[in-house]
Amino acid sequence: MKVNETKAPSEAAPSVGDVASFLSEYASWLLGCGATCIRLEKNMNRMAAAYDCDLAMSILPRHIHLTLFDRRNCESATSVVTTKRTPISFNINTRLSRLSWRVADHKESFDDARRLMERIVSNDPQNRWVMMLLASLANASFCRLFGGDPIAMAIVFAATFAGLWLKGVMMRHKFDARLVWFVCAFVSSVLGATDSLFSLGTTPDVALGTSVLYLVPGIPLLNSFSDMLYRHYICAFSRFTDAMILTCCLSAGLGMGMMLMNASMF
Amino acid sequence: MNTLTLTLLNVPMLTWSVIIGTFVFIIIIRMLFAICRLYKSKGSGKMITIGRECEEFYAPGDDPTYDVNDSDLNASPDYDEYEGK
Repeated sequence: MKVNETKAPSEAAPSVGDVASFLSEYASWLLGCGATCIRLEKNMNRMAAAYDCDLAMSILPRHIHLTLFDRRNCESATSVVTTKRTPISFNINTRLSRLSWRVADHKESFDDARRLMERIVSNDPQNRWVMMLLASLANASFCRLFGGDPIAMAIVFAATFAGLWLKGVMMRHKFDARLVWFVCAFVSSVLGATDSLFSLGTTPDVALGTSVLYLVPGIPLLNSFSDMLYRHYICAFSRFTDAMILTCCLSAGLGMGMMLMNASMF
Repeated sequence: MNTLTLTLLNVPMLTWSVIIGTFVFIIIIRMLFAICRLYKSKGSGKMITIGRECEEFYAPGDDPTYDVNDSDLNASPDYDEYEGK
């Protein structure tokens, strides 16, 4: 006898208040981990439709305000939630999007969907050491792309690894992101200036310039552009401002490092 | 004037040394803490201990009890039975 392993959704339909609570929690996590506004809208509408609800939502930089209307019994619920302040994680982003498809396809009951979301947001399986290693290799590759020699690449690798480790430690201790960016840029630029300090290689300027590239806030800038295309101007402007402030902190740290190391790039 | 020039010239080396020294210090401290945690998690808290004979020479199927000191065969009643005494 063949056993059907697909879970049947629970018979009792959740109340509109429960669905609003679940969706607002979902939205706060999805936006917090680096999703664009259009991704949030699509996922939320997909899941709301699965529960026979209409969704209206306003996305603000720090808050999400959503109203859910249940078509079956003409009830509505409104929820306002603060966006989670979490590091950007494409892993959580992808898994939450996959969850929205499972809910839309009625493969998960409401309780199971809640449980799955809790598991997704509490368990990010990416190994931070592997991530640091790969990011350092990527930055060393950037150094090569800009014409750096092998010594410059090795120095950029070490400067990036040390900076990423410091960034992780400071973020875990809840330091302000602007301070973290400034300190990491300073440390990485000082380590990146090793080439010029000891006259090791032939491209010390490339090593210094590329040692802080990992701190460029690329994802907020891209998300800001995406939000602007889809006319989420408030979020777009907020993300762009955040990215610019971080870039200023990066520049200040890099400038201070260069000044103390008597280094010049040009 | 010479002292000032010398100090200014040494600023990059001092900055670099402070950063490197801090990193090396942190790495050593963290390694020490990690080693301490590792040995504490094993329960004994000692780096070197003398093991029992059955821990050193264990064959599958042996009785994994640690009560009888199997190196002292004369103290074992089972051995007397085996010898037919």
